[in-house]
Amino acid sequence: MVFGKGIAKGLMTVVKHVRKPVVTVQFPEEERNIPPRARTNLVWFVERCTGCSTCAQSCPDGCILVDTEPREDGSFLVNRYEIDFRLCMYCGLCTEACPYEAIQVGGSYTNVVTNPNNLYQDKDDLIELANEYLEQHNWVYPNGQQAVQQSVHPNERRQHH
Amino acid sequence: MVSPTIDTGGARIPLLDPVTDVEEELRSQLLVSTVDKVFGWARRSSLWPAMFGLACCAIEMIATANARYDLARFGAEVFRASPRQADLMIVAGTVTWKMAPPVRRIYLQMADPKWVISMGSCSNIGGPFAHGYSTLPGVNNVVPVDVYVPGCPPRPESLLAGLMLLQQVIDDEHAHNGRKRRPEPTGDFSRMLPEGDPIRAELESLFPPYLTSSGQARDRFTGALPHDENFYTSR
Repeated sequence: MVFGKGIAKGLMTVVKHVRKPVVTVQFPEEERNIPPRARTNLVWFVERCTGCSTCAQSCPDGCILVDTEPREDGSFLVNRYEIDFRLCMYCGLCTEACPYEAIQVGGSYTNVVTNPNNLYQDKDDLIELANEYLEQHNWVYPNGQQAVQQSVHPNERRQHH
Repeated sequence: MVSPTIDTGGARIPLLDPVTDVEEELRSQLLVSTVDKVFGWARRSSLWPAMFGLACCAIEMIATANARYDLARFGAEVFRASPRQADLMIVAGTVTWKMAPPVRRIYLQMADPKWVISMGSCSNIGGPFAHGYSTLPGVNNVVPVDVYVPGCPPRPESLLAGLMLLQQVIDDEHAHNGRKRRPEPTGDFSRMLPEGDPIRAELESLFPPYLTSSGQARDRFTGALPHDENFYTSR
């Protein structure tokens, strides 16, 4: 029984670790690289969407709403596309179901709110989020494909063909 | 509600409330607002969370407290096992109906001022169990929630972002002289639980006016019945 043995042991641990790199990620300033298929927010790209609503059928929570209307050429005009992020469990089944990869994971994960109803995103909100994502990521989709910079609303453009 | 008055030998003069009775322009110039600002700074810089991990979200909450994300950078690392010592409740996980009265009771046991973060889809609105029979559709039916963190489970970064938003909320509260903008739960469970349900009776007795089904008044902090010798031994 030596007096101060415990303190010496503790100080040795401090000395051992003092030259090691810091593991803490200073979150708001720097962010960790997240894996490509991490369960982050869904991003919906209107220009890839055909309105088949396979995503809505595959969603176990039923948090995706798709409302379409046929055009003259047989394609669909997506009138409403809404995701209820209050309900969403970020399982990514919609991204696996979508044949055109119009809905993908990889969005932001810091969308905290004080009013839960703000988590209900309608079509305009989702288009805004997708544009924000593409601008931040040099117009590359989360799956690695290159996006086309467009100023015309994609649905309108498709209608002219 | 009776407004506070000063008794000056017969005539009762109503006491001015610094929040509602002082004019908007004057309010910011009073000394009270400066002191409040200091209080707000102190409160937001040392949030002590109560341990309230209910499901898988708790794992992410623990990860947030670890060295990689280090909740201590925001002064919120002291997870308290006792609600008496905590001023922030992070409801992390699925709140079942069975767990709803304890959530409410622990919230009531926390000392004012107190805040609540709802973490994860389950406690936000019920998540994948929202249409189920056993899960509370949103913890805001039981306690007033300040910040909602979406995710299933949310990443530790999301919880940190939620904590930073809560710090802003606390600052705003003090900028607006302590007015809380979060909605209080109504305590009306008639649309969710059937008549005569024991959990419904227990929940309703934990809301104002804190009466049990037999009309007895409960202690508003502990939910205990007065003069009930068998209260602790009977359950």
